Amino acid sequence: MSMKLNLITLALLAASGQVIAADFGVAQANLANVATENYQCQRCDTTKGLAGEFGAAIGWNDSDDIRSGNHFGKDDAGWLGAVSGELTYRNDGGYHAAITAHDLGLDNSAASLLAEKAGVYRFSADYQLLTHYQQRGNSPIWYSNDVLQPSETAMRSPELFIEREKVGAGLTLFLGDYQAFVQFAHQSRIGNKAASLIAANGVINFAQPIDDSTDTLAAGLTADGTNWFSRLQYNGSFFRNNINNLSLPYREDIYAATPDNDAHQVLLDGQYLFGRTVVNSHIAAGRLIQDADLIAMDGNPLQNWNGEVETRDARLNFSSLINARWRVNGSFTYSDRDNQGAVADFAQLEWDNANGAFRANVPLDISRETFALQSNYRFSSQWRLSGKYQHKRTERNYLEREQNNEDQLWARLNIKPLTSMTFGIKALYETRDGSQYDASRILSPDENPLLRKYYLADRERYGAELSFNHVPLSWLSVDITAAYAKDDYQHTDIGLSASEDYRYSANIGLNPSDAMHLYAMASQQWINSDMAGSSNFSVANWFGSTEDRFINLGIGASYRWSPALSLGADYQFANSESNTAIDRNDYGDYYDYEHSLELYSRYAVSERLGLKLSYRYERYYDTDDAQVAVDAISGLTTLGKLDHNYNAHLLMLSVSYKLP
Amino acid sequence: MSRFVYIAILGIGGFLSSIYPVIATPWDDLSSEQLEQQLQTKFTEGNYSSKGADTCLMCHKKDAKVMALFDSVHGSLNSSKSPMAGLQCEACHGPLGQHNRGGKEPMIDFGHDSKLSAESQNSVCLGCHQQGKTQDWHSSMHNLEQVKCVACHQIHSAEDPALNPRKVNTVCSECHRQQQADMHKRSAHPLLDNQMSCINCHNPHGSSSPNALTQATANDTCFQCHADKRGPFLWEHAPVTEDCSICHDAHGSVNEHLLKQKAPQLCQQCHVDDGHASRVVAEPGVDAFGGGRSCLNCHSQIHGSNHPAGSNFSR
Repeated sequence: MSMKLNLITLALLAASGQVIAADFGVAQANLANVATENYQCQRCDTTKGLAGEFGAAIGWNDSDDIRSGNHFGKDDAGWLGAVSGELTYRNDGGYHAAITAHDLGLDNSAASLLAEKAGVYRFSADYQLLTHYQQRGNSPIWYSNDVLQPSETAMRSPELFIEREKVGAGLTLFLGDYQAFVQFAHQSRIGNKAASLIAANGVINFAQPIDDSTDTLAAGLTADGTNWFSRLQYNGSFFRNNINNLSLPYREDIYAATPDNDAHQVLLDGQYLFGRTVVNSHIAAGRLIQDADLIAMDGNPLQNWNGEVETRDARLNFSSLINARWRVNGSFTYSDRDNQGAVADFAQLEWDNANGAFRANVPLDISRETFALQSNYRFSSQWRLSGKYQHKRTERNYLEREQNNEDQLWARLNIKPLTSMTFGIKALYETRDGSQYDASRILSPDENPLLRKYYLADRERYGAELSFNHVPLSWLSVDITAAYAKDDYQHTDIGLSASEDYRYSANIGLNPSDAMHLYAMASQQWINSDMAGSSNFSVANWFGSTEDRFINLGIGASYRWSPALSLGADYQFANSESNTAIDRNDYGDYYDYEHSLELYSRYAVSERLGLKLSYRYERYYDTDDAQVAVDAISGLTTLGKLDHNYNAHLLMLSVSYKLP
Repeated sequence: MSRFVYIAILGIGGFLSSIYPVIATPWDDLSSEQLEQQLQTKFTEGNYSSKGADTCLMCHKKDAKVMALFDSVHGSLNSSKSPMAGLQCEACHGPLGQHNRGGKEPMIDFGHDSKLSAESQNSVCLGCHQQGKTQDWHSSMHNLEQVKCVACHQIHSAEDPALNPRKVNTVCSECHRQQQADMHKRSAHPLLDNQMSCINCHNPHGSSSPNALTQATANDTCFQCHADKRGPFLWEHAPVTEDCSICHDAHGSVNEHLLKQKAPQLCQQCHVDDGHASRVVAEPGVDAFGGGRSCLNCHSQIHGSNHPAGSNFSR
């Protein structure tokens, strides 16, 4: 940029009172008077060589409930051990490598490897083990070689859990203004989940085995210039289930396996900068495929279904900084799901008044278009107003309502009376309506014409949010948020008719000295909803209400006793509760609560060697009035009461070593 | 909020702010607009230092936070794309000008205490980070609400917590308090122990999807981990196909399985056929309709069935 042009720019700036927003990007820098070749940076202390720390931990877990393994890393009592660490390496040639490990040896652990040379390549590899424990059930029926074996006398205790093990790798090559990348990941799942089927002697809940995998592949090219960017990418996902259809000893293939499926997508992204206006576009075409063999049975005309869904997605965005105070964004989004699967009549085992014993499958199509306009205007450094209007149109081929229109409008005012203080107030209004709600579009089963399914029904939503942030002192911070929303399903006689949701969160943080940190937080939420039902296919003849309650409290402190010793404590309490009443008959208990406590101390034996001793305690209780013993209800075999009531303790000693 | 409450809060805040003095600089008295204009003029004049970072470090080398830059990628001297390979400190903080002559001229400063607008602060970062993962930044809600890049990212640090999957949840929770609390609900994704991270589902730099989801639709985002629910199935359950969030609240629920309500109430808000689905369940746990898995006792394959006779998701 020439000096002459700069002077003109300066003159324009002075005359305009700075209507053009500042752009301090390095690409806009005036380099006329700078000679970067003279920049030596002799005072720069760059990190080179190997750095980081690694460590090992050993501990004792005392728990009689597998659920504690979600937080403690092991589902059974006894000794446990883990390895963790973060090591990095840099050299003068721009090479950088990093390796991390987190709790390797526990049931929730992760590791990663990164190797890169700036501007040349980047390679990464990841590993994650993620286990979610639910409960041990009781069941007189168990899985063996695709058959659910019932027993009159023996009971087993299947463990309900899902273990996900994921490995992945990625490589990016930097070729000037171009990049080529490929990422691959393989995730396998094993475990058991609760499932049910209808047997000859009633309904049976059982532990359904999980043994499947998902491979994902993403590969593409990007190209960019001074004012533009583009990307062409392929995404593939391949789900494979190793569990076959399930049978009972006296009836084959009574329960269909989850079929294998493939998903492919090709997408093209683009971005262009027109001065202070940015335009983004995105188009994608995808295909979902499922062609597993169907179970052979009388009344099934197909060997396999050849399920295929075409997806199309497009988006066009613009964002314009009109001047230093005013930004306007707009977007149009289109999404289409076109199910091209074949339609055929299949024999059903239940008689249907409308269709007899046969029903045709319905390939579900849906398309959505969304227009949005949003803006932000900064009146001054103290006052700022933002808002958004959005119109969304949904069309489907298969439900009582073919079309929905949703309009949303919100505005938010931000006030910053002090540098350290911010208020925000937001108001929201939404409506949803659409084409005629026609219950007769659904041929089977017959639906009550007074029903309005809650995600299709006319709805009016009001909402408000408040936020307050204040840092009155350098060692004190306070933030409070509150929100309220009310949904009114104004034309619903049967179904969900109204709900309201209000909540707040308050947090305070204190650092009274460099050595001490304290915090406290509280959050509560209330959700009330009303519904109506009809048990005689007529007008509403029963009414229900549900009141959900949630509270979360937390407090913690950390204190550096001496340069070598630091201490800390964290405590959290959470309570979830849902109370349902039908015609004023209150349901029984359905709630949980959890106390979590962690006490820890860190001691630096030397500059490099550190010790950490920690104690964790977890008290968890939940109950659900619907949970009953295995044979408590005639005609229903459950997995037993799957509730929890436990105290768990974990004592850990960690040793870490920091590299020079 | 009444005027009295507003004035009271303002007064208390002002009082508390005033009793804790901070180190004053000559440009403390400038308004945000004046500061921005002065910096813009300085930027346009382009009076950079003659020795780059060596000039800055003559005064700032004792500041550990300043020197921590050299532990990070932005402090790398060997990358052609690093600020240290070009204008060095002044690539981000603007031309030195007369700043080192008694510290009378401001530099571009970042963070909560800076009077510089978010738009102007972020323009520095966007000067290099306009593409790829940040390409939707301009249209994002974070940008519209004037979130500063440095509100989440730490530049002068060996590690940026926002880029660490095990630490990013804490960064997000600094503002998203309600979602932070939701992690403690009866059922929730394992965010509390950082086994999952917010960025598994959301792109904080914006995306083409609602709520800055990483995939084109909510369902596509869920299918990243729940590919078994993707189908297509011979018999599809309409709300599953349409949007997982019709039944589930991804951030957590007081009900099991992230359900917005428990069965049978949830099911009865859409199914009221001929007295079967809509029967009165006055008390759970006494019959097969209200006990055990309730509606799912029979309709277990609720996410879709591939059984030829599975139109009601029972097989």
